[in-house]
Amino acid sequence: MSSSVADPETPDPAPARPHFRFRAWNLLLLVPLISLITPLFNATEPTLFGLPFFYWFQIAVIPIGIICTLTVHLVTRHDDEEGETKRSGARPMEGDR
Amino acid sequence: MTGAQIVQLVVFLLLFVAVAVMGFMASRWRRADDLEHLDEWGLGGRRFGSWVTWFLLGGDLYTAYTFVAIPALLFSSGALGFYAVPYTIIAFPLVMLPLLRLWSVSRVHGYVTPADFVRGRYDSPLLALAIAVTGIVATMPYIALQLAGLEAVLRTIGLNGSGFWGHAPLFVAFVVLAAYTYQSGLRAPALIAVVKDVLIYIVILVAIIYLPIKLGGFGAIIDAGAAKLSQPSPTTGQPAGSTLLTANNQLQYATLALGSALALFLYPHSVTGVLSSSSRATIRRNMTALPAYSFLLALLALLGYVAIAAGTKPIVNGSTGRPDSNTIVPALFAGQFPAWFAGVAFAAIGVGALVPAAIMSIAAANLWTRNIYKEFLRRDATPRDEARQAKLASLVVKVGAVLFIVVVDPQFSVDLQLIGGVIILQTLPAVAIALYTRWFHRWALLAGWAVGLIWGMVMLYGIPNPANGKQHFGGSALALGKLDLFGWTPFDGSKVQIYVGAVALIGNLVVAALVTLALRAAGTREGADRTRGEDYHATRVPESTTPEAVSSV
Repeated sequence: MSSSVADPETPDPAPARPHFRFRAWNLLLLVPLISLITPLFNATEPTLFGLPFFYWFQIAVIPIGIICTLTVHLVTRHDDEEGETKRSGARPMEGDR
Repeated sequence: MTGAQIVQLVVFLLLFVAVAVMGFMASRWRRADDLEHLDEWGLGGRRFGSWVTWFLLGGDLYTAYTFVAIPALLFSSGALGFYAVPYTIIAFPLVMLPLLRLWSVSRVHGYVTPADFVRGRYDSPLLALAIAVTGIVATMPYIALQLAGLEAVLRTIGLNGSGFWGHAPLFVAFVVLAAYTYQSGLRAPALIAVVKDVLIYIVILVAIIYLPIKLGGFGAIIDAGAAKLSQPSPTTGQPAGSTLLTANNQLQYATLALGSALALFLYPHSVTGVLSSSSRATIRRNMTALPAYSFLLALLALLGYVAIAAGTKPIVNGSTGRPDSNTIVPALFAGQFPAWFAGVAFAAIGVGALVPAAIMSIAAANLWTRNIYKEFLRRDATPRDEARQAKLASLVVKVGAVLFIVVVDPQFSVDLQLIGGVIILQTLPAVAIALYTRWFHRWALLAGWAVGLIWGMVMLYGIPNPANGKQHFGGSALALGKLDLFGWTPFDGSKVQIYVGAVALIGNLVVAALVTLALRAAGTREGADRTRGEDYHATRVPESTTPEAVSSV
């Protein structure tokens, strides 16, 4: 993912500001992708309540995914408020008719 | 009709009528001054908070598809059908950050549809048109999937007529849906979604506790499933499936889950659900909480095996004369539950079909109005004209979906969703990647879109379905050995299967990248980007813009 601001050929009077904020915490959002690596869990044993590993492993990933997303949400949510204060001075809209 | 079926029908009708009345009343809910405005009719005034958004997105994503199509796939193919679980596990974490950017930039510029964003980002009405048309076309099979679920219920109740008029009960249900969508816009499904979820939770909790106990626990249920799936099918001589993945369908499982997850928020109706929410915080909270529905999905999916253990037989569809695998779960409920509770369960499925069908048709109507009607047919349309067009378009889209169900006979209705997914995935570079970078050239995106769509359709056309003898459009799993690039078959002889959507998307991206390099070398104009970096993090509309100016872009 590039972090280029705007196309250089585009006339853009606005000062260039980075529009991609990287947060290491966001990498947690990739953890649930483990449920795509089928060789890890494509097995019957060990079973849980009669369910083969294949099924209960993936069900177990659901709360893990929720915890990861929740963590990212809690850690980065103040970013939204930061954006709020930074823009205290309203700027004129250009571009839209 | 048997006595039990009459009880089921009465309960079903009572709940269905109650919901329809709610739909009509919804226009008074959080009433706006003027419903004759696209922001009001099509986005509920952009005022939905966390709870309403949760129900709305849940109503969008967990639908008749969940109740009917996924268990039917487990019933007949085994473990592969469980792909819906990783699909919904990865979807929300994966799309949360892009959706926040989309919400912000849409709020600043008053965008209502994904095509609006593409129009502003790339200064290209043509590319926006391509995105809009793709969205409308991809939505139709998805609505048809909901209809298939509703019809499965109606046929189980005994409204199983033959021929064209066998679909008549479905038509009636859809006229009701069309009427209250027309009347109330997005407020109707948002309100009904709450009822739908309550019904579904009750039914699922009962089903997953009561049925396994009755049938000897999950161990016995899985064993019964494994035993039946391993028997050779009479038509192909191969085992129908297994309760674990095989060497050939593991890649398909992963690409299906990933492709479906990426497609999910490209669908116009999901974008509608996101844009109608009132703040970034609403989206964040929902992306955290929505995966909780995945528990339900997983348990529902297992009902496919429960049906095997209970010895449920699919009902013979009166219109096609063949056993209809979509009726598996309704038939299971009819066979195992008291008649009145089966009626409640059927109402849950029926309402679960109507909510997303309403949202989807509204989203498709928004696309038509904003990106085709206003852009190409009547540039001076007033907000009132726009709202009127959108209402009419929502009717047209629903008729299209009904035709889909009458003309096409979906043996596995899940294929409808997967085909829609192949189509909508081709908008990923222009919509989702564009949220992060404008590296791709606009004409290159158009070229990649065209190649991805055409190639995807060609591959789908070439897939036969051995189970019913159809030569074309028999599913969405491509054997890698059949992959053919102008006569070059890189995986010749391989039986490993992959989701067509993933292959077509790779083709799309490669073409878009190559054409971008070529166009840039030739110095082709890139067009102006109306969005700016900070727009993607905005938490509210800049003060200098009145809402009126924003929504009449």
